[in-house]
Amino acid sequence: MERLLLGNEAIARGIVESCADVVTSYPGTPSSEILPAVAKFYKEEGIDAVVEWCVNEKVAFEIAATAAFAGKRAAVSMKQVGLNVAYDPFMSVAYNDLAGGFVVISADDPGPHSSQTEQDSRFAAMMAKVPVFDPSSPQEAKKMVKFAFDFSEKYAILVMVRPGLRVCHARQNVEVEKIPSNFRSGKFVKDAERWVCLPAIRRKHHEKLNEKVKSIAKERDPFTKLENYRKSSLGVIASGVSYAIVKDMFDRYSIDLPLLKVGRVFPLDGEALSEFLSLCDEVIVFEETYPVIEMQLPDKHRVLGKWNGEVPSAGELTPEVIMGVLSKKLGLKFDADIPGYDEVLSSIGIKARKPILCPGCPHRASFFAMRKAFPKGVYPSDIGCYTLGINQKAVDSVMCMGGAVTMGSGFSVSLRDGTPIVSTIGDSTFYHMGVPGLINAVYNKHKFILFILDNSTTAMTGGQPTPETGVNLMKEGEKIDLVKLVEGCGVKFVKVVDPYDVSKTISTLKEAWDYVKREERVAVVIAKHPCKLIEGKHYDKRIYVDESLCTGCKYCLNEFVCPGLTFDEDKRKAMIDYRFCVDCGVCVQVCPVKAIKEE
Amino acid sequence: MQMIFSGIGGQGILLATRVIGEYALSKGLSVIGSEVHGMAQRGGSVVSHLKIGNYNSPLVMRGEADLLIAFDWHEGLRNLPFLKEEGIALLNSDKHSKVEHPTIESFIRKKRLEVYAVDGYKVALDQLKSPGVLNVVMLGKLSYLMEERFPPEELKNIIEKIVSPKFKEINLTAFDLGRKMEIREVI
Ligand code: SF4
Ligand code: SF4
Repeated sequence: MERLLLGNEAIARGIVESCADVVTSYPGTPSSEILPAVAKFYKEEGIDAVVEWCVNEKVAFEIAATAAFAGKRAAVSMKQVGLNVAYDPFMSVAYNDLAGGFVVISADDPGPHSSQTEQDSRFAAMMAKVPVFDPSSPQEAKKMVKFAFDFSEKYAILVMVRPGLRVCHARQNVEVEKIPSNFRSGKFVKDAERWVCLPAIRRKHHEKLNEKVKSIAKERDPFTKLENYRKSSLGVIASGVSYAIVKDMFDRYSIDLPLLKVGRVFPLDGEALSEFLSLCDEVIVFEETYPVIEMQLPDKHRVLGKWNGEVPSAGELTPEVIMGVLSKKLGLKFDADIPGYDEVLSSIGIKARKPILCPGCPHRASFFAMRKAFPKGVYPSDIGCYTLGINQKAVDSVMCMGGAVTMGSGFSVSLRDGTPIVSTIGDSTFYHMGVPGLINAVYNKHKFILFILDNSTTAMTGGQPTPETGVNLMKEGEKIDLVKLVEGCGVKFVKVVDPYDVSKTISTLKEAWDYVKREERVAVVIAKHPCKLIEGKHYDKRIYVDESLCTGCKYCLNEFVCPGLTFDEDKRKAMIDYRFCVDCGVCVQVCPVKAIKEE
Repeated sequence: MQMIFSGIGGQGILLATRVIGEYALSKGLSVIGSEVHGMAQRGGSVVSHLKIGNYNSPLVMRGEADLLIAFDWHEGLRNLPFLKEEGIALLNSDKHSKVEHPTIESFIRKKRLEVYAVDGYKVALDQLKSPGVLNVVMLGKLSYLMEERFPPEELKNIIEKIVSPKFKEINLTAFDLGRKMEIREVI
């Protein structure tokens, strides 16, 4: 049967049809929809499996890897920067002769659309010396995942499947097969030489890994295909969605250059590659985002790619970009841009809308209060919806997951002039990687406020549960108490406020800073209010602007930046935009002349 | 057939795209498209691509789309360059109804585009008090504009299947009202 599946659902389907029944993850765009789909497919068939959201990717990776030590088929999914968090076990497990099949799905974000870098997970696989497959569509992603499990067991090696965002978030008709009942039972065969990463043994493991890679390179790859077989001065090598785009462009513009579609990016299918290179004088390489295939090609001087600037080295390879490169080489007439059109748009004030916090979002209220309390503060922040506090000038530095806490420490040891330092971090990010930084801040007596924006969910990626709720995909877990956790880290000042109460939040933050100055220690304030997408309710009272009072000062628009607030340029008055307003009523507390009212 | 849905994150573009995709699949056609999830969904400009027929990649190239459906006037104008010659656009707009710029007008004429405007929020917000059903209001109008390609009863069947039962009634009403709402050409 065919179903219209998101790429991530197709990947999930590949996992369940492979009978992998220990599957773990931490959400991150573009990988987030994989794990819930695994749970959904197993539940549909009443199959009991371990499908767990974990606190971070390292934890998720280690649990799944251990299942493969114990002979189970296991999978872990994450986004590319999540793989950075899991790097330690990833590099280590690459050396292991696994007992069960183990597949890591690391989803890349060329662009980037929702990430701090557009790094290429295939490079990470190459560095770890593990095979990596690069699917070009949801249909192929499902097949590759199933193949990857067999491959992993054949070579007793960790295997990576690396879908890019345009595969993860593509939707396509995908053939769905029955889930076989071929689940492995867990059994751990003790063998310290195999399972302990003792330095003395590791060299042998490394040699064995090298042998595996050598034999894999000699194995033909079913996902690597040579198309339009003929001799030519020019040929094209492509992988991932770039291959799909090249195919569409070949059809559209009747191009018939020899084309090598690469599925297994590392180690390359040596035979297919030599054959292809013997056909073409020069080759163009289209791959996202780093030159991983390109680097493995023997003779650089025949390669038109990222190394010589023929193909862009940053950003997505969209159809426009790929066709731009091809048309230049082939002398085809092609221009995707309408000259002057974008200039006209910007001259009449039409530009792409930047993302913005949802109407009624509790973070907006927290940021407003924070800036009111410390107009001259330094505001390190973190990864999540609340990064959008940048629109309210409430976020002035972000590094990576959990970085807000440690940047608070870093600023605290660097700025000795009494500048208030307020780090903001979401609850899910705090559990993910904020906790070690907080223990360190207590230990070293760093002086800043950690302002935890607790909306009880992982909002940016679509509202996955956090440990605080105890909810998980297949079964109920135990709830974690955030206040006790913070106290357990050794923090002596912990206060919880509802950010919808703006004045209380301001006074609590000021109290916290007085404590930091007096006691020379970190203080924690928790702003607790559920994410508006979860809470979802409209309040009973409509909010409106009393035009007789509004002075048109735009304070509300500039400082509060809510999609529900707009400005009537003719009347020179603020207005509520009822298409978006959810009547949360917080802006009532924002207007300095009380022009915004409840009905 | 290649289509672009554009609008602002939160306007329900994904559901609208999915309805058309599921409909095409129910007719036994191949479907591939590209969606937006994650940060851009928070009130930013959002474009989703849908290709029905024999295609490999999920992305529509500029100048290749047969149809553009925009839930927001500005997003609609921004994405007109996706259309190919004689392409059709259905734009949602409130106060605007005419393109009042010579360059955009001449672009529309030169490419012989058919560009229509409707006031979908008049139905979704003023009549039904639920801005969230704008997407289905727009689908209703699409089934009016291209009745043969997107027969109303069949789209409604799909909508019934994929929206949660709680919102079934209001969505079907939104579809019918959308079908009937006023429509005009923008130049
Ligand atoms: S509502 Fe208040 S803050 Fe907003 S523009 Fe009017 S007076 Fe200024
Ligand atoms: S009440 Fe004010 S702050 Fe709340 S959603 Fe409406 S406009 Fe935005």
